[in-house]
Amino acid sequence: MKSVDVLYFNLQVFTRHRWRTGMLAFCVALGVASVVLLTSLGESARRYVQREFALLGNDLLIVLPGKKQTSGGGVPIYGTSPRDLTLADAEHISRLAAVKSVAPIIAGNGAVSYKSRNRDVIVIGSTSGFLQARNLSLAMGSGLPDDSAEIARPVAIIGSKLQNELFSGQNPLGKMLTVDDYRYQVIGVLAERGESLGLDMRDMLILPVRSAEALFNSPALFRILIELHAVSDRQSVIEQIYQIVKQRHQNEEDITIITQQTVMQAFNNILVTLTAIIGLLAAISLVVAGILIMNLSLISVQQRRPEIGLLKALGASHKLIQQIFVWESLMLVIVASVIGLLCAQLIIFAANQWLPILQFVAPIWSHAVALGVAMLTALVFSWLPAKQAAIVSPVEVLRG
Amino acid sequence: MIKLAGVNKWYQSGSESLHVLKDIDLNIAQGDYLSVMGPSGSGKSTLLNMLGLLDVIDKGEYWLAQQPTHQLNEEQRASLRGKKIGFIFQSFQLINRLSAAENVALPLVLAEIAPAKRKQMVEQVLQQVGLTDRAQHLPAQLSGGQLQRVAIARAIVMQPELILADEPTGNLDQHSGLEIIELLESLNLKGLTLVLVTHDTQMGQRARRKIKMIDGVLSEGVTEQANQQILQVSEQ
Repeated sequence: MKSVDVLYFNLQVFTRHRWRTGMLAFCVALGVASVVLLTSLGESARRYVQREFALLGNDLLIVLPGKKQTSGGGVPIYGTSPRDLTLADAEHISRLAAVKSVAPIIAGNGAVSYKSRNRDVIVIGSTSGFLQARNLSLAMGSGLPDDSAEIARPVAIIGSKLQNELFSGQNPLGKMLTVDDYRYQVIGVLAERGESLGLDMRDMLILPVRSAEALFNSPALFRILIELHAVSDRQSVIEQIYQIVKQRHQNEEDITIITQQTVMQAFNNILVTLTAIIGLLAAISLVVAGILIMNLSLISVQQRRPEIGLLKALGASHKLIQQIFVWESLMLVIVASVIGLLCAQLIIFAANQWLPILQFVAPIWSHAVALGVAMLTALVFSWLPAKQAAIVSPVEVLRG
Repeated sequence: MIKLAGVNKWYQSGSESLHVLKDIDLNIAQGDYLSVMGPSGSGKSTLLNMLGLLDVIDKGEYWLAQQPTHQLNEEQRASLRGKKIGFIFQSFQLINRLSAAENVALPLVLAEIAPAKRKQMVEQVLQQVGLTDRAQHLPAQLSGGQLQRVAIARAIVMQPELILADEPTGNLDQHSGLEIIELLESLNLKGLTLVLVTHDTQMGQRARRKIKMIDGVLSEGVTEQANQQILQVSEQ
């Protein structure tokens, strides 16, 4: 029997048993679509994080208080060091020729109020280089003063959400805010950007670093962002920064310097693994569909025993009967998989219209895995029914 | 064309072993017309299954068209069956989802005959059995006689050397049954070897050679006395 005849023969079986075929195809398509959609979710998360880190700039170093090896595990999120990282450290680092700009950061929470309106927000203290280092721009007003590292000027930049909530969207420039017992004049509003690395930039207050030092009554820096000249030898600059801080901290290397690429790679590894795991979990649904294929195929073999017997009487070998039944499952799975892939693409398209920020995209490998697992499942789970069909005795089924 | 020598067949029924064919010796020449008669359980259907290579013999030799079928494996027997033997069953055994023409074409499809040639061969045999105008009908749309004609067309489409018919008129009325037998006889007259298994002694008597099976033992030349014996056993 030629392949094309096997396909046509099975096509007739499908049209004859539309309901059963439809149900099986639906299960397989659902499984395939699940694999693609879930991996697309993981992949879009990975790309989102990549984009966020890319926004930090290519030549950015981040200095954190605390040593990676002594804090254990990964990069320390909050510094744990007996010696604070201070503005003086940042000032010394800024003297390196390879350093383009330095943005020391103090971070904390504060209760911001304007007239009768109050909000608890994250307060960032930094210098004029901060906006550039974080790729932030202003919707109105001006940035932090150039002397932010020297003078505690009572000025503030606010996020767009804070503007709306405290000033009902009106121009806040020149208005006075209160944070705890301190008063600051609004000199700028950040342009709308949304979240960045988990921080909602729209709901944030930015002060000169000296002002934040006074507000929190602590000289301890949360981070130092260092922007390098593009041509710098990154590794040598990192070594120099370690040396500078070590000399200033009683010969103790108590900081960690991370690069944008390091963090991006770490997140990338986690998210790739996560994507693969959820993809494989979704693939389990295909195995369930496979078991369904096997059960229905076994029933089908029972129902079609006279037909199998007839084919044998007409010259079909065991092998051919087996091939017909395996191809029946394979054809069904291939068609259902294509439908599943198309549906997944449609859903991804719709999701991208609805949530453009996430930019859902299904990796090619997820299509291959979904299709591969579906076909392997069809092969494995149709084997037993096909074997059962092949051993049907024509003598028994053609009697009477 | 066919030579059976010392053929034996046993079936296992629980712990009991049933000896259903006992030392069968039989020669059938090309163009023979044979009827096998006997009561139920006498072994005539088993003999037909052996001749049709649907079942294997346990002891003895079976030569078909100079080939020792008792030495062939399943694949080889399937291939030989497809080429040399045509089957006609009492219950027609047509596939309901296929049209008459598609049912007839099944052996050609299995033998990988090209579609154009296939179409031509199907048209030819449908004409031969008088069903040209019913080619695209589904089995559900045909009468019993027409269904058996489709089955005959399917049996002869590969131009086999041997036709094995198991109670071909069993599900038909007398008139249709007679038409079918006459159709088979006309094929036999064209050189086809015909082996007919039947309960119907009247139909069986039309064959040139009559074979009697009782309790797994074959004897040739059915006399009036043997006929009565078969009838009596059948009635019991």
